[in-house]
Amino acid sequence: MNKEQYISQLKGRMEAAGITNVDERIEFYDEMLSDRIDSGMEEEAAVASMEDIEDIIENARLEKPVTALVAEKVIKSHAEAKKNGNGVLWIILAIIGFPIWLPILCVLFSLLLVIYIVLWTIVFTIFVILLSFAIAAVASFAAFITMFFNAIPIPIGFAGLGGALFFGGLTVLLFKPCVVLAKSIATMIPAIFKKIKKNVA
Amino acid sequence: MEAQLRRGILDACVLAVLERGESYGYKLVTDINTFIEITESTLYPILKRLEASNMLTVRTMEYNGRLRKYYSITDAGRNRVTELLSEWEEIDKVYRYIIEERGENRE
Repeated sequence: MNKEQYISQLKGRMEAAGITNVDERIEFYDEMLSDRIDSGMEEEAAVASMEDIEDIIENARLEKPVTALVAEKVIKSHAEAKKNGNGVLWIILAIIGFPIWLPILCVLFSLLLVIYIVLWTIVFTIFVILLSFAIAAVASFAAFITMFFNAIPIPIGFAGLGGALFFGGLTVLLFKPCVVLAKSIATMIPAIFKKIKKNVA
Repeated sequence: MEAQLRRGILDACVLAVLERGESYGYKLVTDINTFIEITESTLYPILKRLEASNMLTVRTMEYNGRLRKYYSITDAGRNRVTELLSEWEEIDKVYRYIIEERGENRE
């Protein structure tokens, strides 16, 4: 086998096995082979000294997260069981094994739900704080107005005006940063779940 | 050898070789193979992991009309080697304790 055949076979097997970063890996093995040849080895001897393609695939598969490996095994076993006419047996085994996989699934689901709720709660809290500032500004201003109808003493009325300016200013100043923060959290949520999904898959 | 322990040792080996100076994939395999067996498929994830954790940096340079990746250790990588060596001292203590215990129990 020459270098080109080895690399093309390796690439084909990696793609078939669903290995990630195939191009980068191929670049790595290509460099390894070229370095062997440059160090004085014959091309065929260099290829022969390379690791067995199946071993490379197996090691690359082991780099995947355990969850992905388990999911892969389950899908494969289901497909094989269906092919061999053991589909019912597979379903029975899945039901018998449910005390193991059900709690794990529940914990994972709860964890994801908690993360999702916490992140949206942060967004909600930001806007509640902003709203409270706006309401405080309006209420303080209303207090200032009532001063003209002798409902409250003049110093308290002016304190109300100060409060209205303070809270109104805070609302205006914080509105834009709060919107930016809320937007970044809102875009972060799907990104986090996408990453989790990618790692699980 | 237990996988986790082997992984830690191989990480340390790669970093220790890189402490001597910049190196490339094939040279790393040949250098490390003189004291512990390592294959390309074992080295690849180690390099990726060390790069992701900023323990080494990679630069691509032209060599013989093709591109070759060169790996260099960072300060974080040097600190990791020091950490691993101190961890090893701990393991060595436990190892010696086990040996002594076994010796006493057999007597």
